[in-house]
Amino acid sequence: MDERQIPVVQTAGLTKIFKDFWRRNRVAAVNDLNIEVRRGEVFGLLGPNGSGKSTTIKMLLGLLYPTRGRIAIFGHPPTDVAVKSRIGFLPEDSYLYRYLNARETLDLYGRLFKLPAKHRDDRIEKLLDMVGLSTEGKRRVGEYSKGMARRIGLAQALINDPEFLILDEPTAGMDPIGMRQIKNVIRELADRGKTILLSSHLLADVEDVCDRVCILYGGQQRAEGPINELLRQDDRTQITTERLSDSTIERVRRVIRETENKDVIQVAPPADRLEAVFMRTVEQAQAANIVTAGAKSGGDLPDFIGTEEPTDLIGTLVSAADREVHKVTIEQVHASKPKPEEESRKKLIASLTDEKPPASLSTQSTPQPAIDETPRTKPVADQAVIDSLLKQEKDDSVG
Amino acid sequence: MRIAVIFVAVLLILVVGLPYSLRHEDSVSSAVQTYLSLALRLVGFLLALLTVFLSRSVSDEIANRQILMLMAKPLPRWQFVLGKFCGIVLINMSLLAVSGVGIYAGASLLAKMTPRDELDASRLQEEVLTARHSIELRPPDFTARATEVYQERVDGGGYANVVDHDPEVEKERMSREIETRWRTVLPMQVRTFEFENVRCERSPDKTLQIKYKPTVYRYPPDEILRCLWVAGNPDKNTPVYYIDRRDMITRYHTFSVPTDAVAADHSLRIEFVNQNPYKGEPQYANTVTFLPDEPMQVLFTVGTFGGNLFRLLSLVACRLIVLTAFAIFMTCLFSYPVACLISFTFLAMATMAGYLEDAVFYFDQEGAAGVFRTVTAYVYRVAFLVVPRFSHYDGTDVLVDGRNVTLRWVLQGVGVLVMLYTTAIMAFACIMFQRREVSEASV
Repeated sequence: MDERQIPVVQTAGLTKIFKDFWRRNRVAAVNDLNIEVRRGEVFGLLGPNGSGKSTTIKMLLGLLYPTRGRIAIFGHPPTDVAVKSRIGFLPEDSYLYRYLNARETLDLYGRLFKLPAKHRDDRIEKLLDMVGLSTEGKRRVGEYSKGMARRIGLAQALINDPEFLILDEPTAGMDPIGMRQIKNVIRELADRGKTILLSSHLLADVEDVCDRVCILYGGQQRAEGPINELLRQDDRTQITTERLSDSTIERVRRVIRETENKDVIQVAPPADRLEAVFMRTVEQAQAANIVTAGAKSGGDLPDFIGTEEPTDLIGTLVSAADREVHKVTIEQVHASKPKPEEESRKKLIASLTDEKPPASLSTQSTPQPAIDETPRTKPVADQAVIDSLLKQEKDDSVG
Repeated sequence: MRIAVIFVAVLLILVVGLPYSLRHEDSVSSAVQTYLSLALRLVGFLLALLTVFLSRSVSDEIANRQILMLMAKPLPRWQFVLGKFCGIVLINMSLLAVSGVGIYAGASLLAKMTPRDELDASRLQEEVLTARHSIELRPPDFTARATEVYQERVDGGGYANVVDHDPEVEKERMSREIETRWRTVLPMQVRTFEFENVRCERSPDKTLQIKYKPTVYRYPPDEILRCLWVAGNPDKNTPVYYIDRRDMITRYHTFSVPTDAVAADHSLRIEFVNQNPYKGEPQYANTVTFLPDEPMQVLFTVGTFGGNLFRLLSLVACRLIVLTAFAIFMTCLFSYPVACLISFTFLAMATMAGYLEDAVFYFDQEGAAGVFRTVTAYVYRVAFLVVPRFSHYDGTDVLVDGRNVTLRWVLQGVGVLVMLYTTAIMAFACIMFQRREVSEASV
């Protein structure tokens, strides 16, 4: 069977029952879970505390053994050691060796992947740059704050340029800059063709980065599907524009009432998300060169990630282009969100495709039919009004 | 790694402090012996403790969850277990090497002290800081003589009135009787003993030692036995040495003889003269016996003290390797305090295997009655299937006595303790660790 056809993760009737000292069943942490993570997607595992997210992840990695059911990672059982060289794992907390410094820590994990020394040093430098700890690389990680340890955790998860990343609550303990960065990294990794499974109960994070989610409760799967399908309110339409005068609003109300016979539910200036305000403030502080002992804002995702596998180039190209189109639809709804990754992605695709415009690629054969089939056009009210508003808004976002 | 630093500090105290405190012993040779005995036991004990403490590295990684990240990497679990094992063995071996050098230095330092007298000086060189091979005196084969005596008795009609007798049993009994007579020396009688295969360098300047324990039938008033030893065989052209002794009875005694008393064919003739009653002293006419389980020995140098110490430490290393394997095995399965307790029990049982086996054997024979006895004996038997007998591989007493820790013994230690026990324990450890879940239940 073609390697590309095999799902990255597939579970069938996965069940984990924890027993007590007397071998009596105590609690079913995971109950009959069937998930499938397809190649190239960002899959979110959601659920309240104790819903079985971490247990599932530990079973996928062979750290816990299922009571019942089966797991296939790239078509292999999780106990297969070879499969692990294709996986990067960030646990819910970074459990590092306190007496090693950051560089030694990354070197240790690099060695476990049998990376040659020169390669390893190169990657370590780039990863430390990425997580913004290159100046702190000589300090023992035991002295690091939780967030900094987390950054090292992320760096070690990427040291082997994994095809498949498992992130257990990746933004836990991070400051908002770190959260933003992690989310950017996740998106960018996805664009480079990586498959990502992340668990979280911070729904804002998941909403920003995931393609597909599965919601767990009490170890059972309660909902599953592409995120835009789950989130879309098919009976509403949102319009965002530059500030309008009261008279214009009145006219819009009238147009809508006359043509559609519907009322406008809410007209208000959109509230900025706190995250955006925070990011702006910190960026201003950094521009003013204010000294900090903490983590600096990191650089870009290292160039070795996802680029050293020529066989995956087409996949990267197709899935990245595919997501490009997909993203535009979302933009129409959430126009107020900051999107710093837009530019870099566009550049990446341009460099890979040369002549073809990205949109045309999405109609060709893609490995993710499910994403392709999702409807991209939204129900429209007055096409003329919305078109004119959209044009204005697009000009803004480019500027 | 602070624990290793502390260990080295203790070692320093041992090497420098202990010789200093032993300077006031009555003789240099016994001071060196006390030092060696104490230092070797202390190093062995400390390293065993250290091994068990260091083995917590495995359970710590599980408790601190670093294992989660490690086992998510392409690292087979058996490699993890083996790696931990090798790490501890490496630390042990380096510390053992350092201790070895330290003990050697300490002993050399002590040996430089002014000896009490000439005897003390020669004893130190010939009986302590050396490696001597020992040969036990074996009785000659008396079967032919027994057959002869039996035949004489049959011919003389000695069995005329005995209805039914087994000739073999009869000969066996006679053989024993002749042997007993050979072991026993009557007052003013002389007995010749012959040692074979005494392969030592023959020289008037080197000495060999004869070790013996005389038993008497009646305690003399001063508990002193007067005897004369004659070493050498003029028939084989060796010089003859006369050693006049006054020995405390029922104790081991040693005297030295120049090695040229040994004949060219490696035989050594020793004559024992029972001088009691000694002229002019109030003494019983006492009969002397050398009992079969306290055989006379000849001891002669076959190696150097340094080589002997090295072989002894190799045996210590073998024991530590088994202990490391067991401690790793336990911490692969249990949390630290539990694993620690089991490992120490293992260590205690292995070290006292000799005493314990004897005790259980005795208990089984005549101890408490019934089920309890059977169960206890059974439990111990099963336990000793798993627990190696460290006491069989402890050469400290041998080294302190200046006797040779043989290469054969060391190889036996390597074979049994390392090849057999360690391999088996590590295999179990790897299998069990593979089966265990490295993350605890958390929902």
